[in-house]
Amino acid sequence: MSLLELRDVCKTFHALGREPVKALRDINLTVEAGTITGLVGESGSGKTTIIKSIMGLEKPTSGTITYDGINIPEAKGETLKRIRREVQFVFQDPTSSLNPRMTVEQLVGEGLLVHKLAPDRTRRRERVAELLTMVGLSERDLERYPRSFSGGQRQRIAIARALAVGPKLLVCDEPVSALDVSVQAQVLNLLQDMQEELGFTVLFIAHDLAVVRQICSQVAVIQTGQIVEEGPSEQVLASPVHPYTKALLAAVPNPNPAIARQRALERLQEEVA
Amino acid sequence: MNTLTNSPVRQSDGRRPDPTTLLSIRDLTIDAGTKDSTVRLVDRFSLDMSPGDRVALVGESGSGKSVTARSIMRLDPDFRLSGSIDFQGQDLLKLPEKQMVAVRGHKIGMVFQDPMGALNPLMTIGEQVMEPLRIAGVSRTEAERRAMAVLEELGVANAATRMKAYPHEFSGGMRQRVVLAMALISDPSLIIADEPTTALDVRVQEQVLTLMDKVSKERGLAVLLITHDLGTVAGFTDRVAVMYSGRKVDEASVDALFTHPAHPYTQGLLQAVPRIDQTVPRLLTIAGAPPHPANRPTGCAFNPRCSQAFDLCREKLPELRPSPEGGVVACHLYPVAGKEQGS
Repeated sequence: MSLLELRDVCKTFHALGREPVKALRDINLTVEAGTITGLVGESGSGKTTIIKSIMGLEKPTSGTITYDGINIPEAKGETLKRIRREVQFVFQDPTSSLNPRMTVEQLVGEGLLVHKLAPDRTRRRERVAELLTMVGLSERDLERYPRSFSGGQRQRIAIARALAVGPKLLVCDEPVSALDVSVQAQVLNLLQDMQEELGFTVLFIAHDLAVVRQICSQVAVIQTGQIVEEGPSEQVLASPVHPYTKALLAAVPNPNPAIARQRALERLQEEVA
Repeated sequence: MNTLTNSPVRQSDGRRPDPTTLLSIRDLTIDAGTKDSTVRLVDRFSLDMSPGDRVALVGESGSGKSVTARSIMRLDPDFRLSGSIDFQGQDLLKLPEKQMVAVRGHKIGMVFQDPMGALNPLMTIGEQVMEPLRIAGVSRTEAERRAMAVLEELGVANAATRMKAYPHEFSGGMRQRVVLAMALISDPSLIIADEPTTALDVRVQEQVLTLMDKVSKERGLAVLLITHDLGTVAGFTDRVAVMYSGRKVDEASVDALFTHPAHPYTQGLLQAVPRIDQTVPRLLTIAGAPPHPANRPTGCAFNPRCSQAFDLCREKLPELRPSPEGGVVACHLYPVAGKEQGS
């Protein structure tokens, strides 16, 4: 069963005195319920426009974006509220996505308050503490501000905040690319564990193919507004068909010095040729 | 030990009588803060580079790798530096600021992470590439000629026209080429590249690395590559130094480091990187986070996160010692050397 579906989505941006930019061209993307689906592309490929469209911040020029059968751009009132609760986001840079003037309790509890999911302050506090423990922080952190946490911990707060309202779909936009290697692995494991435990669906936007291979069961590759290849990530990343996917894969740095040197040599020869 | 009479030795501290040393950092210590509260950002860091050497300095945020790189150029006047940075026979730490200007951007070039931040949005590309030469008093026509040549060397097509463009008209990869051109135009013998590809897409990242690879080989240029990404290091460098919490904890040839990492931290880092050629059910992680420089644990700074730590690790700071694979490592798991390897 698909939870999120983009059907023939086009988005064209018009600017005065310039050629219109076709940011999305006939995007068809299905996110099956219970999976972690990766969306891979470089800057300018249209990833951000897709996220904004899912959030309802951009209206597609044509096509439909349906969440659980509801067309997102047309959603209003209670339906919109439901989408706002069930679809949550985790962004790339937790330093800018968390309000520096709010405590962890306020940040994580905000959704509970807005969606009236916890009747009173004590209950809310309990629930927030529970969420913090779940993501590897503790009740002691309730009164602290984002600045007193490390990057990895901030991203844990952002994940707790997203999970607070019990989402069915979690959209993660490059959630680990701003993190250090050792911390990146911790956050990836956390996402994987949470997904297995709570069974929600994830749309995982990333440019790092190795990360995608590690965490996603499905993957779609987007290039200049078009999906050029999709399928099970094992298959797409082990035997890519589209030249763009092949090019992306070939550019992933290989942490084996012998192979990496050989490839660097090939690149140099290509340059010369 | 053979006689040194005929070799053109400039200077040597007696420990490593290598006549070809280009850069020799000895016990570089960097302190920041006021007189009352000092934070030690880097503690007794040493590194040697020969001409044409390509060395990577790897570490996570807060490890001190960028501060070290910036201090070679003495970019932060507020830091208190001690030790010595011997570059082409001169101790950069003792050099008057006026003479330092002649080193900075001329003998040593620098490439920063964010090309947009490193470029002046109100100056044309040409002006910026030419700037180091103009400062050095080179005539405008000559500077233009050389700017064009270096841009072409870096694969910027239509260099003459592109020189009149502004940074915002360039893509990320092109901007990084411009920054590289600025660093190369004075024909330096060393380039310090601080995370030069981190802000770029994978394919562009590879292009820039290929370019740096080519240029450094053709020019016999030494490169000190500062990065947190072990993946980019593998194909580009000869040697890797790993920093953790302000200290060099591991240094080895790139092959040794990747096949038999000596320090538990290096081992952990290598395991934590997701691989494109294999999947594991769960990534192995290094528990916890690096300590704050003002609040390092006693003993080895890595001991609270280390799965192999024992009593000594919590008591005594491990000094560098030879590692089995021919490098050096700061870890109590390895015996201290008898001779040769001091400090």
